[in-house]
Amino acid sequence: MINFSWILETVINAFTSLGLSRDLALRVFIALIILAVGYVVVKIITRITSRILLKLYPRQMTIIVLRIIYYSLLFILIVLFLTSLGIDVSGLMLAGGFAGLVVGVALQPVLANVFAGLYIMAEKVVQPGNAVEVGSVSGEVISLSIMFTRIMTWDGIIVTVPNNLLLSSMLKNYSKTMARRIEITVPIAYGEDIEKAYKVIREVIDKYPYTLVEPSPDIFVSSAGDNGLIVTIRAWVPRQYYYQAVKDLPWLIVKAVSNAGIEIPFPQLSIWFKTPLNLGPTSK
Amino acid sequence: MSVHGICRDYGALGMYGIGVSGRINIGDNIIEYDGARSRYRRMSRDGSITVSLDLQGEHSIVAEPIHSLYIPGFNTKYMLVELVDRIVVPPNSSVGFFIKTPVDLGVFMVGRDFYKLIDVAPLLNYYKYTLYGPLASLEEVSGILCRHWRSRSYNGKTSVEPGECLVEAEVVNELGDSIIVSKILVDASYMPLYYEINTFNCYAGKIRMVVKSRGIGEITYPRIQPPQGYLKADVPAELRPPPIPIIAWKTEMIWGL
Repeated sequence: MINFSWILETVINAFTSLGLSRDLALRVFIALIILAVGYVVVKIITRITSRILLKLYPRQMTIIVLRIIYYSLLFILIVLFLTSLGIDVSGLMLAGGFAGLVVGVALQPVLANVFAGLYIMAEKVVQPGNAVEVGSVSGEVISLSIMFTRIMTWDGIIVTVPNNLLLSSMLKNYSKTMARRIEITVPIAYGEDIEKAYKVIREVIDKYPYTLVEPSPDIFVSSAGDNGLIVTIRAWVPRQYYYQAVKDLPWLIVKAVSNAGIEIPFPQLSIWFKTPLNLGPTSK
Repeated sequence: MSVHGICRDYGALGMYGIGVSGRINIGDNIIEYDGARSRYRRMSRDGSITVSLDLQGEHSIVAEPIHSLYIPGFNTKYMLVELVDRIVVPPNSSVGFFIKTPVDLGVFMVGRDFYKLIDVAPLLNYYKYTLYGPLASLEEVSGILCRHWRSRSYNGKTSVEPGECLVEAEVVNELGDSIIVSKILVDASYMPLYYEINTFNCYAGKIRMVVKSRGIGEITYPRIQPPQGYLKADVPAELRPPPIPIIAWKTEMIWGL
């Protein structure tokens, strides 16, 4: 059986041999025990918390929160350690608090970004791989850190957006819906069979694999334009095929309408002269 | 008779389960396997090559039915079968019928201890997708992208054409009021396909829809014996069911029946 009083006596004797008083040696011994046990407790708490947080939040955010918890607990442990040694930490705490205030004010923009980053990660406002538009920047989110969100624009430029700006701006996330609507307008010359044009366009939409059956596509004459009737086509496509459909559908529709012998008018201007115009040679 | 367009021209009388060699007409496509050069090709009738593969190692090429979820690309494991004739189920009763689901021709490279889907040859002319449920995916429960298909309901077992697979369906109405069923959502990963060798006959087992509240149904996939002489088709990686007990194999229809 372990003889605790013998261990205690041996350790205190060892400390006193170093020149410490018996009272101080006891305090150092207790402080070291607090530090050792406390460190193990901090590790256990961090590990349990990480398991819980990983189930609830993204990995990146969990790591940040864990670091905050870990260092806060470590700070408390050091305060306990110093207190148990008999060191008065109230002055240190006061100075620390004041320093914290100064640093907090100085780092206000940084902290705003940090908290915005935490919010974005927790709420999954954007995630890597999302197609987004923030202000004038449009592209794909490639990475998300505590301070910045990096977006690769459609023409391949990497834009670093501070998280605070991301949160305070109007943000369009195109990846939060299952499908997107594509809208195409086709002018059909006056005098052409508009019913036939409708059937031809309908056939193209029905045959194209990426246009969804539901929500159903819509084809209608939206206005009488300067050069012909404007037929508007609205169809929903899975979001991952939106760009493909934007490239394919206008071309397929124009080709099908032309192949059916239906005229797509080009912009033209008719000028009527109020008085007869003599275009013959002028007599001298 | 089929609801959707189905390719009519087949060079072979039956395809499923046979080893592929030489040239075979599959609707608008020709598949060709040159065993001496281990080269697989699929081409269209005008001669343009769609797929060309150089296959290495000891293997054979086998064609089997595969759920029609791979054309133009694999996007979903769900199929929404819209019933041409909606089915009215009286209160506290069940009805049984057959429907057809779409299949294509899966070309597998089969080795001693592996198989790999290398190509999917279309057997149909209708490849459309639809959304079941809401557009937004902000909530945990969002709409589902599904392969769209229309099928008649049949009172008994009926013949299938290439590109079709027969499914036994049962709708159980537990409500005190009659219900109308217009569509059935199925998860293809829970529906293994069975085929009769050297034919285009295909069977996809049984589905059971239980309606406990209005507009909401639960689809389960009871295991039943396939018809005599039918073989189980290989399952591509995308459609392998999770390794959990069969009791958990179910699909919820919460956005209307």
